[in-house]
Amino acid sequence: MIASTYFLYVSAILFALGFAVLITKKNLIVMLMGVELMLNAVNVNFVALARNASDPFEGQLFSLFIMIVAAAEVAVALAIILKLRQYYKTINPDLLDELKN
Amino acid sequence: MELFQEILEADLLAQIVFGIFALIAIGGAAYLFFTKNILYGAYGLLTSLLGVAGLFLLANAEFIAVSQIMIYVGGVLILILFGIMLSANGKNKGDALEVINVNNLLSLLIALVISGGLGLMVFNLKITNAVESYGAVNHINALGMHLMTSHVALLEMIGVLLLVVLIGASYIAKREKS
Repeated sequence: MIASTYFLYVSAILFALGFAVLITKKNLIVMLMGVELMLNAVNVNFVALARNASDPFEGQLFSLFIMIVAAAEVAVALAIILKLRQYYKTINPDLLDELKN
Repeated sequence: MELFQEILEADLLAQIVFGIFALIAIGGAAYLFFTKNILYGAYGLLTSLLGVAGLFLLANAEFIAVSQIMIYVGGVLILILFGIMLSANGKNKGDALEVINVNNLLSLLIALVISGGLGLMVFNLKITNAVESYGAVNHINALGMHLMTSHVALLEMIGVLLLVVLIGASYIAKREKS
């Protein structure tokens, strides 16, 4: 039996790495991957702590819903990225600065 | 299944397997951070997601592990690969494939601070020991009962959300005639 704290450590590291990817990479698709990594780390937390609850399936259901919402989010985000590329010919977020100044 | 359960109860072996899966998950994420090739980054994410699926298995969440593989690896990642392919056509295709790293060291430092802080918080938590196993509960049965009784409103809302996303995404991405 593995203690819940180990799961929490792993998820903390995954969350931090996802955040680092999100703020380092200058490419919208790779930034999206970072967001996915962060959502996954949260899922690990939910599943690991659900084992301590009186009803273990509540937490598991929650992580299932998070997965579905993440899939929906990726679909919409990729559609927006494709549209952005049609207009601006770039997906570097630093170059999409039309509203600046 | 019996054999698997018996092996799982052997503590040392479970810890070793946990360590392997955790290394796979963290290694894939670190590869995504350090690589400069967008396609290799997607493969790193794939590795990381599979490792997390293994972690779910070790946490007695078989159904979540399977849906992780089906939704994330089979759905989200394929969608991202399609996004890479679709955005890398036409003129200046190099731009879509180019990955520029800025403030590499600074963001690694921030990541270290975040994970260190969260780790310290977890270290100070007092968590009661988790249950050994759920006994003779049919996982899929119990999850389905929850979905159809106490969480049925959530299920309906998720269905509506998926419909809205389906219509909205295809409307946004459609090519305008010009």
